[in-house]
Amino acid sequence: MTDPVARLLEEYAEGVEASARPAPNVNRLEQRVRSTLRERASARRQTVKRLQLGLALAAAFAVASAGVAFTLGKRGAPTTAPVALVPAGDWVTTGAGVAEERKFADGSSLRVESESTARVQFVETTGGLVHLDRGSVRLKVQHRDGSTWRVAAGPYEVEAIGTEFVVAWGADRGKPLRVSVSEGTVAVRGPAFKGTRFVSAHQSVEVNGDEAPSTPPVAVESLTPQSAEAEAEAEAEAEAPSTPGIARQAAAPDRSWRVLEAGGKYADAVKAAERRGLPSIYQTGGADDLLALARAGRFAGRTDVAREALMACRARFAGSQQASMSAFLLGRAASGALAAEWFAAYLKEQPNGALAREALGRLIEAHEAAGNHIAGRASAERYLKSYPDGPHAALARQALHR
Amino acid sequence: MLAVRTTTPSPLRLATPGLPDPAPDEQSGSYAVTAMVEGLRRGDPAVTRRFFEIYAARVERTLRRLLGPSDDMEDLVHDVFVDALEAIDKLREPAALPGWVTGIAVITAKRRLQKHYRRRWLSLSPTGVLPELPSSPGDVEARAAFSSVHEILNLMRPEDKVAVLLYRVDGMTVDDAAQAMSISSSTFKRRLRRGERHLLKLAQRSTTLRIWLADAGRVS
Repeated sequence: MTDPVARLLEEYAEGVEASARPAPNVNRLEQRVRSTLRERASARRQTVKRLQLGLALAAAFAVASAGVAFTLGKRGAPTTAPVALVPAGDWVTTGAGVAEERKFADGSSLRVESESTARVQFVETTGGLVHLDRGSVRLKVQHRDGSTWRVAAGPYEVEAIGTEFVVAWGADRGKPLRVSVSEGTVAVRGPAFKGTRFVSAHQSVEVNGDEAPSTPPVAVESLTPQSAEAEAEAEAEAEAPSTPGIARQAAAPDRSWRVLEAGGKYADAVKAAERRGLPSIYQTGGADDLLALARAGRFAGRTDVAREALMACRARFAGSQQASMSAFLLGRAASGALAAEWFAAYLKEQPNGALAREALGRLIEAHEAAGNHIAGRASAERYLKSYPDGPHAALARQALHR
Repeated sequence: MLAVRTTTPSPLRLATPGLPDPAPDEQSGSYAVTAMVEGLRRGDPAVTRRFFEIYAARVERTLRRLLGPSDDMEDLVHDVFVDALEAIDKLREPAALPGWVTGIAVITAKRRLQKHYRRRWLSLSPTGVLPELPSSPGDVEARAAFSSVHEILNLMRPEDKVAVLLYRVDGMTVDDAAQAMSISSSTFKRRLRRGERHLLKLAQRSTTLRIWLADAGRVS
């Protein structure tokens, strides 16, 4: 074949055919399409009804609005509209014996304990970021598909994966960081950890004060989980090599974006990573680098970067814990059938992993969202068998009785 | 290289084992297609079901060839069917149903490509996903070549890329491809030529592809 275009595209065509997946599931496709069409039709009908109603009641509405405004004005701030209660950017400082609690639109809540200073840096419909300057905060996260709540304390970051936990931070204390989890699992990252440390319910983790935040990771934290098994698991995660070779080789080049990422400057971190060359990081970065880049991308609103970093981690570090974590995060960022595939992948790779319970719970959510009730029921049965009192137990029972 | 066919399929037209091609109803002529359109307009469940059975694989294949491997393929196929069923009353010529559905798939793919083209310097692939292909030690070079071609295709203008892939990879004739893209045949030819020139230029800039083309040239 002498035509170079044909030669190039022949290779492309073969690659595309090689990537072909089984033919689409017609049942599921038809069900989804019908459901979408019904929703759209219903939305259109509602819009028309609303318009008609709006026109008919315009005058009455104006009077009612005036009445409501007058009542609210007398009562002060409304009791609902929880987002308005949490102005992003405002610092909250509490005195001795006083704690303040804030509610978020997704049902999650933040309690700033006494003698603490914290700030809600931003709030989104699916989560937010809390900066803890000193003292401690308790975050209770409501389970939602794709929700992400994080607490940044100094150079550390605690990411909630549907849970309740307390973060205590004091840069001048002997043990500056303490994270205690009452429910679910959190991911803790920072200079004292080799990669990500998962802390599950009834566990806590502390970092000693002689840890210099910006120095390379050294094992200085004292872990005090309540069970030996959990300790062994956590140690295994900390000690696990970030998958051979490439990860260590990649650590040498410009790390400025990692420093920015560790400091919570996610948008700047992504920009720095771009300057260095995203493809290069995808292709040569270590597994932890890719997870960090994905994190920066996610919180900087660059989901494309997050997704590629996670996919690169999956492709290049297959079999590693970071690859499994990537599957979990990809599932969390997706919805419906695609999310289900990612959570199933995580569970296949890490059936007893730190996030197994959460992944199985979210698998039920994803199947149900996709309208795949048969798979949803199967996951629910599995969940209740393993975690009868887990945070998704109620949902699992609902799925079984649907 | 720049001469284009108007009636015969491209030499790269791929055999796709396991996929119904073409659909039996289409083979039986325009009457069956017209009856299907009428059934879809009536909302006949059996006809709608048949519509999904016949066109799901075809739509998926068109999207895959235009976008490459993608994790959200199922969502894209879903979008095509939603658009098609919502607009079925607007189909003026019922016998044109197959091409019309392909046209919706092409528009869906083009929309996706345009979205990613605007952010192309951020992304290695049109869907934001690194292509996952079965790999073995022996196919490293082919995989690298595929990745490189995939990458340079993403640097092309979406309309040029679609033109090149519909003609060269999907094996459409100029007339069919132009119809699927809702443009005239002469406009299609211009885009095809421009796309092929750009593709070659980009390939020459890629070390991997330059070497690979030279090697392939020696072998052939």
